[in-house]
Amino acid sequence: MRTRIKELRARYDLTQEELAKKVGVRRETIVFLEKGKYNPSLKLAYDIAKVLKSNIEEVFIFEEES
Amino acid sequence: MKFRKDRDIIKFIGISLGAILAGIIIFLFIEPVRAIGLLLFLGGMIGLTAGIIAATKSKEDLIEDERSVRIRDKAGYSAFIATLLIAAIIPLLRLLKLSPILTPSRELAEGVQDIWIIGLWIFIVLRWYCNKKGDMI
Repeated sequence: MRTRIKELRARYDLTQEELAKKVGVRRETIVFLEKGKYNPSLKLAYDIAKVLKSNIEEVFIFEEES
Repeated sequence: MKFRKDRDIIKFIGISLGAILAGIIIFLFIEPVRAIGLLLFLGGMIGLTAGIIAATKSKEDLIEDERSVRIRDKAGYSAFIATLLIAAIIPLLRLLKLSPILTPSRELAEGVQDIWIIGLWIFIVLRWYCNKKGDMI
């Protein structure tokens, strides 16, 4: 899974800290999400997508293994 | 280094200092319950250390988000299973006279303390490992 959080964050001029605060998680969690090293719950994915004014599938991109 | 001085921190540090003081007084002057004094002193010291560490972090750093809950649950479950396995294997090793913890001169009740400590360390190490590794699909 890869995410577009970093790109969308930059578009809305949000820092990791600010995004973390808005969705109620630690900044560290946002770091792990951006690196694709954390699999968020549906609620967190929804909250992040909402803050970044996008759909979940625009933010989190699942790549099928070949 | 910046220290937070909000009400929760001050209250926590105050309680810890109170426990240290009460512990010292009990330990020095009330001989029949010296052990309680010592426990209060140690508890207060641990509380004071935790309070000072917490004061250096922002409130946001201390919130328990879903990632930390998931890591704790995962590490806790694995540590629990590992502790159960160790607790089950050690009596078998004892029967074969191979147990490092339980010897014929040492009762099971004494060995249980070691098993708990091993379980606690497994939990700490697993929590660190799960935190480093992340949780990928």
